[in-house]
Amino acid sequence: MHEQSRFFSAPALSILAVIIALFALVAEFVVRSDEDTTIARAISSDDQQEIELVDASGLSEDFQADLVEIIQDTSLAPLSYDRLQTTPFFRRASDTDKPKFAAHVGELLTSRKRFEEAIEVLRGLQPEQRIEHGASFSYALAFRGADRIDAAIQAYATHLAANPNHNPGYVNYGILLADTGRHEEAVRVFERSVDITSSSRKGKSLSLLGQSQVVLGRYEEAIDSFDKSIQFRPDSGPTWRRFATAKARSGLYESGEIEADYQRALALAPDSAVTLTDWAEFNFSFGRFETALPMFREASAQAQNDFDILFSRSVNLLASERPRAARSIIRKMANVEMSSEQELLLKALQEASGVIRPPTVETKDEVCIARQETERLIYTCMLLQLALDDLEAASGIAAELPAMSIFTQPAAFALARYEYRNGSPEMAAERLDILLTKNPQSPLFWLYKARSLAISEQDDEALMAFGKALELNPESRKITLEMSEHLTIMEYYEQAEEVLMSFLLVNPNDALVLFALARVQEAAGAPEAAEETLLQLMDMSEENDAETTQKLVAVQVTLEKFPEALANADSLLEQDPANIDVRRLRVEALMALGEDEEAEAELDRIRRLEPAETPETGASEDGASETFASASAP
Amino acid sequence: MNLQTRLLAIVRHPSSWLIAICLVLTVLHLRSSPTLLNQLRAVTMYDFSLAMSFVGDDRNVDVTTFLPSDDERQDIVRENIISGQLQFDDQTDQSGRRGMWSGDQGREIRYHALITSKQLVYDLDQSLQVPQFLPEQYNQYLIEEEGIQVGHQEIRDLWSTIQPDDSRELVPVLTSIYDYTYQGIEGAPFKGFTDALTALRLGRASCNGKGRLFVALARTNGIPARLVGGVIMNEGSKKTSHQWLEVLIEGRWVPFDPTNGHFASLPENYLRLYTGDHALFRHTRNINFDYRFTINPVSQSPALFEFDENEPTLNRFNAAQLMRLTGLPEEMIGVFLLFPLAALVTIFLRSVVGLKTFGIFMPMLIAAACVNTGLWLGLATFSGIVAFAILALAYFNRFNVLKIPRLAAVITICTVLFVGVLLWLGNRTSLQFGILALFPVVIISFLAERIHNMLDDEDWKGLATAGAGTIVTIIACYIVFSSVLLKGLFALMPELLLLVLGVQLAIGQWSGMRLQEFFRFRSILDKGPVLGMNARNRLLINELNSKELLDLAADKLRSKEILQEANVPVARTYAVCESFRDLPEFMKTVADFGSFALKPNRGSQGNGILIIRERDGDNFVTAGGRTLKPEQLSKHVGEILHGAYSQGGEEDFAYVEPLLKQHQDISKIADFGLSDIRVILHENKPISAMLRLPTKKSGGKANLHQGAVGLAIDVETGKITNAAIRGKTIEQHPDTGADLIGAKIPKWRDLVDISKRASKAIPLGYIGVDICIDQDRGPLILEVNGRPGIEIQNVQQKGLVEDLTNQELAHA
Repeated sequence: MHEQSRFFSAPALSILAVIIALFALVAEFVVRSDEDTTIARAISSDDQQEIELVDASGLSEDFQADLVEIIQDTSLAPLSYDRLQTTPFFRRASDTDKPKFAAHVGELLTSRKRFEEAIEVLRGLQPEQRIEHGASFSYALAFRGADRIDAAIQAYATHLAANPNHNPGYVNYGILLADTGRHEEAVRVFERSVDITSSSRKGKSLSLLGQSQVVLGRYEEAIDSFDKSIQFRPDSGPTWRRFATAKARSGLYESGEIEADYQRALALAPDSAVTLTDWAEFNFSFGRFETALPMFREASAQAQNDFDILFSRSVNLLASERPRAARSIIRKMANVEMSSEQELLLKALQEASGVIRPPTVETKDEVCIARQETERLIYTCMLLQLALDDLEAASGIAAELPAMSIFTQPAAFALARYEYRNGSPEMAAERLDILLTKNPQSPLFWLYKARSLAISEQDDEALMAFGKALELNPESRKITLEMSEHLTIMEYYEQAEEVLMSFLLVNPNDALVLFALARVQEAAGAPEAAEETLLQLMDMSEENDAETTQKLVAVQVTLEKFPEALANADSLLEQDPANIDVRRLRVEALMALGEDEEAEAELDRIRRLEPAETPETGASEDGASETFASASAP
Repeated sequence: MNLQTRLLAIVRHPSSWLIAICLVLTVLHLRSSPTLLNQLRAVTMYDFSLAMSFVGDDRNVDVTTFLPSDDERQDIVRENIISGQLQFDDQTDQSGRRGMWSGDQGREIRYHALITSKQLVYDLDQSLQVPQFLPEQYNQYLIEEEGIQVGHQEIRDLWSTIQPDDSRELVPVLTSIYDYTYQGIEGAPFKGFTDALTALRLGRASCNGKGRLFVALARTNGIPARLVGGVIMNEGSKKTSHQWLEVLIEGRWVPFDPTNGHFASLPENYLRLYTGDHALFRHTRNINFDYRFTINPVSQSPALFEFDENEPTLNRFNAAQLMRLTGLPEEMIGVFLLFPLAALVTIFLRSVVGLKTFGIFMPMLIAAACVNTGLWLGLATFSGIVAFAILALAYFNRFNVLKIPRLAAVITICTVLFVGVLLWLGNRTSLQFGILALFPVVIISFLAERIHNMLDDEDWKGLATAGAGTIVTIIACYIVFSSVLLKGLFALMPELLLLVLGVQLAIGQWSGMRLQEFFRFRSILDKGPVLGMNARNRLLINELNSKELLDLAADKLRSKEILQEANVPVARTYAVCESFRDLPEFMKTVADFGSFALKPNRGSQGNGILIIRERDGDNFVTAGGRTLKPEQLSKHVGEILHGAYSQGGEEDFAYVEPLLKQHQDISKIADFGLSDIRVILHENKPISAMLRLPTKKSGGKANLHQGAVGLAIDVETGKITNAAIRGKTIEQHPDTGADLIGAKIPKWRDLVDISKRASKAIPLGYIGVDICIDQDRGPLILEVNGRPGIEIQNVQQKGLVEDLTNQELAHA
């Protein structure tokens, strides 16, 4: 019996319990109340279409009110020039004022997006009257709003001829031209805008100019434009993004510099799926498919139903040899809002990826006919050609891609991969050589080159290519395993082991690599090391892999550790009783242990298990069988 | 004990090791997962269910509705669909996820999901412009639809009156539309379809009218907009769904709700079901279709659930994730993980605080069962079932049914009642009553039996004490089981179970006085150290009394034999009934006796003892004046044989002793029932003694807890030094008014000698010997007790510790 301390008396313990309970209750309250379940997003105007709008406030307020009343009078709708003349206000107005008022009504209607009515009202005026009363800009805007592009272009031209220093006119005109693919003209218009404006407006015009220059492939000029634009608008995330994309397309800049620009763009507009996509596409275009994967994932998380992002993501997944993930994305794309071109792209992707099997000539024809100069359609057309095994046509189509298209290198790689897989490794190697001279940074390109060279028995060259691939992506298990296998075939066991060991330094429990290591060690004549590796591998998992156990049995037989070999063989045979190779190893072990009777019985089982027509030495490539043959000879 | 020795004792203690290991593991764990504590934050989970019913009359019926699906703000953690033989299919398209049922068999569809959701808030830049030119895929959100009269003259007229100064600025335009539809259109509980024009013309609309008008106004201004439908997940049951809308801004669909006032934001409790202007339900005509949503928001620990696979894995050591492999639902896993802590709370309340409960861990099981029903509903259900079981017991008693079959019948009744309650509630609410199955019906039946006995004995105080202790323990365990923090902690840091184990062992080795004992012995605390139950159990009974001897002491017949062999006087045994086969013979023997005491061999605290005072023909008259028929007496014997009164509940013997005649000196004080003298011996040395005098209140039993008077006896002289009833000192007997103090116990020396001999014959180190002084035969041993109570200290007005071992048990 011992004395109790007052610190451990019931009142003290109860007070302690109450204090703990109170703390727990406060913590519980904090845990329950401090819920942060808000998604907060900011939408800024920075990425918005940079259209300049009409300012319809150049009239005295008295008239303004009357004219607003007219356009709000529903009995007059739809308004036209003639109907306008029937109103009491116009009937009272002098002939000289009437065109001014009509021009103003046109501006008001345009600002309210009643484009057709604005056109009808302004059409009643002579061109010079529209110019004189400042309505020529609204006239052009109204045509653009009504989607009458040619008329809008003409109206802008007329407006700018009369107002050669009206910057909003140039900006809108340039945007319209760019939107309709007339980038050459857009560049001239934006250049004029740049000439006549100053400060931040100049920055905007320069950014737009750069964008059109990128489309025209005038990357250096574009870079120059963006560079200047940034001087005016250094806080514009989209401009930094365009700048980076222009640099990427030019092929003249280091990846690091381009990525730094993308990083700046993201820092300025953190929630920008467009920037992430551009950055990811930059990596895609240079064959760094793995690097692009997380960027595309993040971009599509931010803009969930954006077709273009999903398209780029899925082609990147296909290029990085993840067809199942690609198919999952392509299936999701069916639920996204699409234009007719996007619908066609989706159809092409569905067939090229195997979501819909088999690929059809009809779809291929539909896509290829529609391709014109659209890079995405050209690329998917080529993928469909390959899916239909028409390499020649695919090569022809791939050649249509501009040199700096983001699809050019992936397309060439797709062709090389097709050639490699279809028995033309030399052609594949040749094509990859060309690719790698332009872009030596893609681990996948090097890997395929190495594979192609290995098949062509150019072992040393293949080894160098494997080395390059591994250097660019040292964490790749695939490259590590293939390189070590190649080294083993070349009997460079030490190097093979080194390659595997350096991977294992980072991923010490990688079962596949450990197994490969054991094989290399066995092949290198170090069965003790192989046994140790295999035992390590077996310790990692409770349910042992049959292949690992079989290899261990073989190694233990080699090491003459017959009882251990027998125990492992028995446990493997419990799972896989039909494994003849292990049974042969068992026979060898039994004979070595002098258990001839059991060995005979085992041989009998083998005879029963083995199909009659298979000769006993059929598996001559198998090390285990060879061992058996020599052991059973006496 | 010096500090060094004390520290050494602590270090040697296994609980210290466990706690130390736990602390080391916790530190390592926190270092390897620095974000671990952040993962304890609760998430609100919406328990969402949709019940649809219809009358198909064997026709082929089709029912289609929109079901929730995952998006950036809502996550369907778990869902299940019960639709009997109806064929179910779901399809996802731009509008949402359609659940479709068809078939000619079935009349009910139940959809249940556990959903988490987030608030969505957009901060719109004031410089945003109304879009001028949009990609063609968005044209569908600008055109007129049924109910959305884009460009209608009245809509245009309305716009001209509410438009802002500059209708090119997006935010002012949306604000004008929003202000008008939110404030300008009065909210009305319209249930049907309201188109935009009707809403405008009436100036009143429900959510769908307001939404359509908003969309019409937005589209009129060239802003793509679309309706969205769903449910507001407020707690309760309802039929109302809700519609709001989304506006396309910079490629994102931004939500607005002009009914409840949400501008570019959506509260957490909005569940999105579909996009576009759709009806929520479509079904075959004339099938009496009805539906109801039931929603119950609950705070849960995210550690218990598996969220969207894109989210980072919470913790590689998540015990809850491992337990999910067993197929248990997440809520049950949370409860399961906290069982050890609830057990710790229970033993703390019992061993440190000193609460008495019905059953040891039963309150914990009841608390676990209450987790999903809520505490009060759970307690009410539980109390209802217990009350019903007690009534059933009382009813069966009338039919002379033996105890064990009676309990079995109560179990059956409870189960039937339980199934009935589940059926009734399950059909009417979505509450997850499945977990109620945890209510252990067997334990409930035993509890009912125990309460029933207490009611029979009119032990109101015991009933109230145990009842209150049970409720306090249930509430404490319920708080533990409901804690989001604790569920998260034990799921993410299972090493804390070592801490719990350590503290449990520490309490198990703690010998201090319970808190309740400080109150119980408050009048003697200043008169020296008091022996508490923990010290008695650990330091005296566990150390001095072997299990075999305790068993022997509990076996009254066997201990009587041994005492007789040692020439210790004991009451004679007239007859023993060892089994039902002996019962007829036993009853025949008993029929010859005029008065006797019928006792269970392994009874305690006087339970099951029947005092037959006289005969009335064939019948037996008890000490309380009740007349029993022979078959009633036979039934009582049967119950004793069944173990109804034995300490462990196992089968027992019944035996008959002659009715002793109390010594006249004691009868002078109280001639009611049979008094006895309890002598406590430690290592064969008498250390304390008391005389227990029955009162009317104690029903003739010499049981202090039931109101008998305790008289303190000076061990040296045999003089009565003090008298107490329920801890209060008295001087006269409450029934007879006889003076109690100063009297001397007759034959005291003999009595001490007998008790010593008894303690020698049954060598328990700590023993209570109960002796009665028979007028004719002198002191006779009634029984020996291996676990004598500690109430004697209140009677003696002095703690036992000093007498025991020179203050070795002393408390501060």
